[in-house]
Amino acid sequence: MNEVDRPARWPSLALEAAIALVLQSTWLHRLTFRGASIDLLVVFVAWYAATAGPGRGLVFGALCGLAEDALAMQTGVAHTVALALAGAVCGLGSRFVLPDSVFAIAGIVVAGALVNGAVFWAAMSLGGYPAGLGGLHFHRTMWSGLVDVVCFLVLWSAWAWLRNRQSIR
Amino acid sequence: MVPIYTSRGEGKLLAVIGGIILFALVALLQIDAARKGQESFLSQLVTTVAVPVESVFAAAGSGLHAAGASVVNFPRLSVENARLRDELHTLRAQDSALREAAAVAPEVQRFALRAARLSDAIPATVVGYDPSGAVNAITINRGSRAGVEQGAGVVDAGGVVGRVDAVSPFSAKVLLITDYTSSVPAVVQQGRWWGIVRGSETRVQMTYISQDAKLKAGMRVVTGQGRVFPPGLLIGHIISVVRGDASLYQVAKIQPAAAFGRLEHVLVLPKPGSLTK
Repeated sequence: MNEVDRPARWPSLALEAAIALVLQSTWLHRLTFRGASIDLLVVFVAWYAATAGPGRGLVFGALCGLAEDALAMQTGVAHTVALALAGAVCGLGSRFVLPDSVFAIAGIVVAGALVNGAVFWAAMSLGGYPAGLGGLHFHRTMWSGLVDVVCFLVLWSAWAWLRNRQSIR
Repeated sequence: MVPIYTSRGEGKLLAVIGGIILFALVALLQIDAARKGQESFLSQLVTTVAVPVESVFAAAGSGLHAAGASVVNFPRLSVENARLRDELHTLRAQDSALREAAAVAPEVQRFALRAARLSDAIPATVVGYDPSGAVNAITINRGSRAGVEQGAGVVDAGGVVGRVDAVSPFSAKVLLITDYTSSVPAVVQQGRWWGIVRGSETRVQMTYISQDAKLKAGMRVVTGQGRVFPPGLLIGHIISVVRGDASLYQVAKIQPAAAFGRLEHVLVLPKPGSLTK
């Protein structure tokens, strides 16, 4: 197993998720592009699921989603279901595409963002969210896929740079 | 082939089943709380833990923003300061004259009394936003311990911000008027035409306005008689009007008066019921 496909440990995952949640609820809402803002949790769940498989991806996604639902308003368990399924799909995706390059994982992150958006808005709609906004949510989900993959590439570059520095030392 | 479970395998299986049952229980509690429009125990716990951390992050963010802005804007700050000082003197004089006028007219006096009781409003700081941005909502650092009630209106220095949707002991979640699920009874101040103000993501729009209404860009839209806000609070200004020939009503697009891009300090109003007591 090389450095790219080694799954992270649970304590570091929990810390990453907590930081992502706090950043999303304080700073990241300022960085929006065509109505879509960066969803760090989706990026982390997809990244982790791509290296750890569908089972762990589902569990990590469900836990992250539950925390997001607890902090959000009027969402019930929509985030929980959406992120859990996104984690499972990303984990399954990694069985068809070898996640040994940054671009393979980037593709999985895009898939995760799209699945997350689709399932989230479907769950919200079932929960009674006003109908007739499907087109808007579709566009927002598409843009969020783009924004999330850019965010992933930036994070991955930083992570790879840190790894290289450590290995040089 | 039938799988053979060892004691170790059984333990793992029991842990998985227990995890699923626990997870289902938490999910049911979350759904039940969302249907009732209340905060679940988990939400209260997470919010209570998260709010202090969010406060630190929010304070750091606004501090950095303010420092950057003051460096960039320094050259024109002294000019603006002098202009604001002049405006303050003028406004003080106007305020004094209006108070005098209010004191002599009984009907206006009642209004002034109601406005004065807005001083019962609870000042709060915005510490967080909806983490996914799916719902236009904010978290404030005052909750039921400070007297914040569910359904109370929230305003900032510019105008109407939203209403309190969920309350925890030390924080509250506020649904912004820009959210699609938000609706506020409103009136166009010049003309007294009634309608409903609904959210449309970054702005708001006023619907159900009679076709007879002669609306123009720039007109002020204020709150009408409702259960959340006292009447007369500024919502925003009309920027454009959509008048369909086949429609019974007009729709006006409104630029909100509240600074939704940089919300920091807000006031939680007492409920209108308590104002008329």
